[in-house]
Amino acid sequence: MTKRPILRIATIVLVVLATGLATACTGEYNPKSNQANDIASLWWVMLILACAVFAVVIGLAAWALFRPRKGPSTMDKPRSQFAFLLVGGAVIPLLILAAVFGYSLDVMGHTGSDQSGQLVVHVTGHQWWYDVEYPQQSVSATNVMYLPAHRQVKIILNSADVIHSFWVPELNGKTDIIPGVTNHLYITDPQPGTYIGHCAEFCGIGHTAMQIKVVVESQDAFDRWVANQGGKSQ
Amino acid sequence: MTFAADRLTRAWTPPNFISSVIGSVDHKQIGLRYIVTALIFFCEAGMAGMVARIQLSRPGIDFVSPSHYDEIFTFHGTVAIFLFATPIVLGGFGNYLVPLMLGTRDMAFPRLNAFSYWIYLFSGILLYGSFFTGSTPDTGWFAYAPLSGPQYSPGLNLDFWGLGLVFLGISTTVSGGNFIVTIFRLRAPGMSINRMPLFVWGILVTSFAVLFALPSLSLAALLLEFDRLGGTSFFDPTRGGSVLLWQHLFWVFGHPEVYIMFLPAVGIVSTIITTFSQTRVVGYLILVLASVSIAFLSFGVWVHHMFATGLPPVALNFFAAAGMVISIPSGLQFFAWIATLWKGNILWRTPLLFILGFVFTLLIGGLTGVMVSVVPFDFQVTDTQFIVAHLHYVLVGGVVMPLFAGLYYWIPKMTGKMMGESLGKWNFWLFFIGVQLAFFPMHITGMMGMPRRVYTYMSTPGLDTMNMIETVGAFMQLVAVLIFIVNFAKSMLFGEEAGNNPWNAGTLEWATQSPPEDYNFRKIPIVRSRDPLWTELEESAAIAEPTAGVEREIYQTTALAAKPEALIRMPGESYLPFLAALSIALLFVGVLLGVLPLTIAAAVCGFAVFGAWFWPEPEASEVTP
Repeated sequence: MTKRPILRIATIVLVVLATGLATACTGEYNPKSNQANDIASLWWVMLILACAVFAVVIGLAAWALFRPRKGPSTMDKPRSQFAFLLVGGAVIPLLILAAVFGYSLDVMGHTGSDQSGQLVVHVTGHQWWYDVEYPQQSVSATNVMYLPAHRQVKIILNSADVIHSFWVPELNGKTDIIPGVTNHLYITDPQPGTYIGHCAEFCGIGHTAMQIKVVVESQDAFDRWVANQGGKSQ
Repeated sequence: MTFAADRLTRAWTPPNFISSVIGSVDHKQIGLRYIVTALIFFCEAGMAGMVARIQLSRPGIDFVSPSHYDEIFTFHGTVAIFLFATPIVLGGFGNYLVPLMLGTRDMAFPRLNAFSYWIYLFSGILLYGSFFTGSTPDTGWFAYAPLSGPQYSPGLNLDFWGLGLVFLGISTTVSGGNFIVTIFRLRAPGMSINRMPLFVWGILVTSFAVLFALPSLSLAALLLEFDRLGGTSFFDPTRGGSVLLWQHLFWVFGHPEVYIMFLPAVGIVSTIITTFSQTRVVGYLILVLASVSIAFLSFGVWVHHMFATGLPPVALNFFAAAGMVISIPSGLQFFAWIATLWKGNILWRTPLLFILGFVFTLLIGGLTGVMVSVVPFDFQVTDTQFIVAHLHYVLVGGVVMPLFAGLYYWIPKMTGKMMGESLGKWNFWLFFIGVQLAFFPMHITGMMGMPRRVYTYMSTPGLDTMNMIETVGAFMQLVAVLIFIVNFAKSMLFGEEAGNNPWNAGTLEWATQSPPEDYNFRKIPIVRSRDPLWTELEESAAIAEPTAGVEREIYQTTALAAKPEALIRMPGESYLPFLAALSIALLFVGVLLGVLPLTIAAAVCGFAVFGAWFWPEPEASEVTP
């Protein structure tokens, strides 16, 4: 009676943890810019801490359930109860949370700021497409964005109708595109490649299909693309 | 003795069948109605979830059309949160259990209580009415403006949603007030505030949260209806409105709402852990203060649903810190429960299994909750499947599992019959594994870049497998719920008699018969400890019996020490709550469909009914003992 639940619980715990870790390790989430790298490191630290907390709490719960019940228990004394609650429920969580919060403040300090020579791109969200404009080059595109690698890009976001979101998982977290509000985000040092961004805020029946392709290529290739579109190079 | 029982029966039993159906003001009747109605909505919301899961089981299929898919996820969220989870914990378990746990005979305002149920039922029917008009809400359960405004959602669909929620809000608000008064003034003599059961604490804290949070939702929905029906522009940025105003108003309600569902469930957890460890709970005061502080803090974290809206970083960091602080009281709760299990001797029965499932599942939901309160990480995963995973770990783990535990625990009290243990174990394991399979892979698909609220996705190696596993998990949950229904039917037909206290529990509801008599307690108990049935239960012959023979009377006690101070006469069966709720329902239908004569007629009826309700009854005044 008591043996089987232990085994079942242990199996499930292991399977769930192993799946989570294995998938995280296979690298389905590939950061390709400074901001995305910061977020990915933060995720790794939090994942390891979360697994440790999970293991300790489940371990304590398992001990509480299956401990040998002979003689008096350590939990009988009010003083040990109080110490257990205080240390396990408050002190240790507080230390972990303070560390995570400090780390997140550090990452928040590196989300980007205006630099001279950065490329500015205006994105306007429509139901259900992205209008992409390059004011410095006087060119524009629809549902596709060409970016030069290894530079900083400032993307300025406006909406023509409802709320959308701009999100390219490999390049940065998402920023909402909100009517009546101008938002922006930075992408610093993007690596060459082709990435797919999804609208992430439900925007009506075409939401699922609302995607943008982001092509990061060398500065030369980017300049050629601008020239082909009849734009002016910087 | 039998003479006293006869008099109590005469006083508290409805005179005829119709008055017991339409006119009932018995908190147990109302509680059971809430539970059954909410469980029907649970099945409806679950079926909607199943349809969505079938649609997503493989990439590129069209089991439902995109527009139906949008209606289905809106319906799933709206019904699960507003018509299932909130009503079942407050109206259902709260109504049934609070007077029993307090050792009294009814809620403080029995007719208001009946009114609250009828409003809930009619608002549920009203929201369902949108199906029959072919104009179903389709903008998600938080209906962000301007998509939900008149320009982008013409037709009646969002009016059903907005007016339905304003209407439902009446019900939740009056229950909140009713619980607060009941809990402060109707406790059995001697049940001072520090001897109150932890479930009652959960309901008390939640009721206060309801009173402070709900006005924000009702206001938001009313402003939306002004925009939609009256041509105002609160949420229209092209005419000076603000779309972020909607998000602020909605989440000022929406975040506390999570805890409105969760804190009564925490009360169920503390209760069941105490009983199945057969020992007094460790850290009673800490558990109480944790619930109070969680409810308080929950009003300061609404912006964590809006991290990606471009608010200034200082504001984001403030709300991130506030969000993380909530994990401290939650951590204290977890350790108090573990310490109680550690100290006690474990009874391995189905209710405890569901509570352990809760501990496992909510722990994961809490850990991902800390992750999403970290702003830069939230930028990455908000509005993806990761959030869908997180919120289902919190709501299914934190609310549905304790509810199953609560049903297995209290059904013997409600029906007098035990539920089957082996079917109960099948129920638990299928549900528990189903939940893990259905929701865990969503963390991964979210990290892989799959947004929420999409009706299909591009075929990608890992993604296809994960989505198929999720659908299999959803089917396991469906089977688990079917097993619950079979188990319940079997228990009603052939279940063994429960007796008064089958689990050897310590709280007062187990001192009554199973199912309890209409008057609950033959004698009102005097309480001298937190677990009165584990110490000696003293009954007072002197104060328990109805003084004038056939009147309904209960004790009013002081708010903190629970010293008896008055005997109050309670109202009997009444059709007025039903008629009042019906008039308000017709009023809302009139406004919704724009039928002026119906609106006016309903308003006139409503005034007449409330006039009759509030007409002074000279003989129903207080009598001091």
